[in-house]
Amino acid sequence: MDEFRRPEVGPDRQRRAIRFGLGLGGVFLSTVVLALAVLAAAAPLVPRWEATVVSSGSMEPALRRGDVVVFADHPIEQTGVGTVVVFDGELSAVVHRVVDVNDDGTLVTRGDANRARDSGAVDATELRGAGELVVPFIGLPRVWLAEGRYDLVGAAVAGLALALWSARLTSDAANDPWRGVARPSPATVWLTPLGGQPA
Amino acid sequence: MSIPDTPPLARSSLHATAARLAAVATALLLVMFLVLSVSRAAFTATTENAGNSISAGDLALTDDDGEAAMFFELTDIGPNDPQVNCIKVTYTGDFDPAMIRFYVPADLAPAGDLAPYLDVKVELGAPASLGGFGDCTGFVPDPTVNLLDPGVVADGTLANMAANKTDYSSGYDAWDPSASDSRVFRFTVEVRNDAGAIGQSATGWGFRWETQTT
Repeated sequence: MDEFRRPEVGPDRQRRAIRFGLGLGGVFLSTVVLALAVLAAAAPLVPRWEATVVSSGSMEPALRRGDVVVFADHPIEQTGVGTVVVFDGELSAVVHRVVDVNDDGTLVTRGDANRARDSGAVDATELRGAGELVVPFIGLPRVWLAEGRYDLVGAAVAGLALALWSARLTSDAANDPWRGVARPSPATVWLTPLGGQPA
Repeated sequence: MSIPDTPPLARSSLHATAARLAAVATALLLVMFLVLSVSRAAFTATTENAGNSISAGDLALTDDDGEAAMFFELTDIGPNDPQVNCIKVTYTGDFDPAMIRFYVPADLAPAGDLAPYLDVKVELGAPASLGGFGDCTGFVPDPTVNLLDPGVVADGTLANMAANKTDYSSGYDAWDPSASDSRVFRFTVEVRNDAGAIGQSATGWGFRWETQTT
């Protein structure tokens, strides 16, 4: 307990600083990933909003594989040239840009990276909405799962676990570089009367 | 390694708590900025990536016909005189696309009245098959496709194809590449032995290959 009160110097302190720094990196990384995941998962809870994962590069560079596109229901008249629309394609939902509007009101679409326009026109029944928000990267594991790239999924899970594990380093007082600086944390002050461990 | 005198349940110092909060706040700000800027870039309809520019995710289907017609100026063809030509179709892209299909789009539908009497057979070449536009030497049909005969992916009259195989969803399955890949197709065209075919013509027709991505 003596050491706890005395400011420390030397290699021990340096090692704590490195561990704490690593931990901060973990906090940062896991917060980014979790915030993106929460955004992507919570967006469809908003009325009229839906989300889909971009699974190919046909809209590069605007949209990349693994981006989650949040889209809202819009009448077909409002989706003019340039709008990124989501519609029911032959195989799955397609996210492409409107490049022309036919006289009958149907939409001509094309992926930004594609040379040719899509062969079928999009009518009101196929149109599911127009893009509102892009949550980048976070759908990548879903794309990898669909492609059977379990190695990449495993690496992503392991990376997140590592980030979360190192985030814990910052809450361990043993790694606190400021340990020994005689200054109680507010938590200590508040918790002590409630039966917390007295400092 | 372990610091022996760590007090049990010791609280972090104020500095450490502040550093953690700062890391969380920076991360949240970065996420907000990222989502807003990416959304803005994607959905603002000011610029458009021209289809012929090079970009990381470029997807393209090309052929080797140099814009020439496959059966150019064939005249006075009778029954039992099949005309054969090949074409090589190449998919270039970084991604695994959907099935490549081919069809007779409305703008390539035949003009003239010969179409109902014109039999068109299309064979898919094996992955290592030789041959290209104007030369079917070394063509080997793909034995894994077997509709009627090995390699046959389409067989019917031109009129039937132009009526029923008009877009991607109704088109004939060609092949499903997993990455950049090319295949040779052998077309055999023959006029039916039918009096109705005499003196008729079929012009301006063609096939289009297409794949779709999400």
